[in-house]
Amino acid sequence: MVVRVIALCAMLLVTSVFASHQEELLIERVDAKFSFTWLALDKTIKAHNYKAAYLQRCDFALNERHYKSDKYRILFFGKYEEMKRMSKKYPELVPFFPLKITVMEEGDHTLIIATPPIVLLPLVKTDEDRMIVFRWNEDMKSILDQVKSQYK
Amino acid sequence: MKLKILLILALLPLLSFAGGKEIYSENCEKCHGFSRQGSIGLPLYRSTIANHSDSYLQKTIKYGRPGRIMPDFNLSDAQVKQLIRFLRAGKKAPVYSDDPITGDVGAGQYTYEQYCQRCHGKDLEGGDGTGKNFSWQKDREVSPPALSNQGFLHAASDQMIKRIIVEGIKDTEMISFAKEFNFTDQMVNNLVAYIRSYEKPFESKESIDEPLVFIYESEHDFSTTVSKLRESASAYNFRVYPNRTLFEGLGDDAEEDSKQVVVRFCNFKNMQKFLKLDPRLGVILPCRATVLEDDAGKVSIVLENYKYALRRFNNDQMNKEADGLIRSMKEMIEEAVW
Repeated sequence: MVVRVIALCAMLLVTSVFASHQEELLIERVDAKFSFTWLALDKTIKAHNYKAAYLQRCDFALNERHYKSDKYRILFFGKYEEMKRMSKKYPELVPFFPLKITVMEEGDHTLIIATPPIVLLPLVKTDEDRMIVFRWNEDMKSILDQVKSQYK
Repeated sequence: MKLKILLILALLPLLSFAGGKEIYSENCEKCHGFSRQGSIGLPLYRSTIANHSDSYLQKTIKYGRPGRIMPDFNLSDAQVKQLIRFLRAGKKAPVYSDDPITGDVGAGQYTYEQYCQRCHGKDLEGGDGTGKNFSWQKDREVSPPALSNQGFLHAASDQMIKRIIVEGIKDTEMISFAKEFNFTDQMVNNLVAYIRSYEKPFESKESIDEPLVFIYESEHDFSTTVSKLRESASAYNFRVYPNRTLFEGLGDDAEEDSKQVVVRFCNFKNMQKFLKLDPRLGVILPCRATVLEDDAGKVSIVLENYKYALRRFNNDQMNKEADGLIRSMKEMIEEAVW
């Protein structure tokens, strides 16, 4: 109990001090081609106990439209029971489920980009649920960071 | 002994970069690239920042470029110094006096329209899109900076702007206007005065006085609402994808999940337009609205307020272009639930 209160206080302190920066997009540049990054991302998401749900291709005819790369995809992932419970309790959260990471190739590198889940904090009401959102945020940052680290 | 001292002295400049590389790697390389070649952000080669003062770089890091992608960074003064030292890689920083330049703003505007507007835009708003984006085959290697951006005007001194106009910036399309077009000192002064006339007091970010999410109650049953939403999206020129349940691919509670359906839609023309302005667009793709039925049988459509998502891009061009699209999405849903 004490640990949870301390963790919550720390979380609230961090979110209030860095409020404006907390909302910026999370971006990492990976020193690897798209296909390697994609595999690493899939593996890292699983290692964080999330399940990859499906991918959305956004690269339809990008080459024909003068893009240098046609590798542009979005990976959706989540935790079924937890997100299902949260969506029942807070219908306002459903536009943000499942979580997602955008993967785009840029030359020999790949960019992985995500919205920080902490932006959902104003939509939840209890401390326990705030902790869940905060954990999603930390997991998202950790996933991006670990994918990047694998090709450092 | 003497040799040792000489060796230490020779290595001192290298030691002074320590820390800067890590700060760059942590904060800058995602947008400016591993080798500072530019990407979402501008190139940061030693040569391209050679005419930029330390004060300009410090303020740029601290305040960013409001509405022009580059965010403000919460780094300590010592970290900023280390970072700048790393970027300079041993090259000496230019020093400019703080003396303001006076000139004829009207004459400066004339010169601007003749020579600068083609790249920097009619209202000094800069080129379209992000710094140097490898994804989009633009007609320019680097998107010309926005000279009317308050972050730029706050950071750049008159004397620095003057030097850049006179000498240009190495390894970029910014040529020396003194060499190429024989600009006189008076012409440059007038031009600086015109650019400076765009400076305004620094404004903080406007808050959005709207909810994070819109919820529309439907007058129809669940399946009718889904059908009407799909029809409405098509009527608003969106291509509508097959439906998905909210947690498709994650779980298998088919009966319950069938009452949470995501309708995804996209207008490809708009998507291409926005991708040109910002390649990070994917974080809000595809456009979607979710139809829900609660335990009491009440049906509603939930739509993210994309204004909040767009604000995270710090890209005024995107915000401007997206206003109409967000309005039409809301109208589309209003029609579906009515």
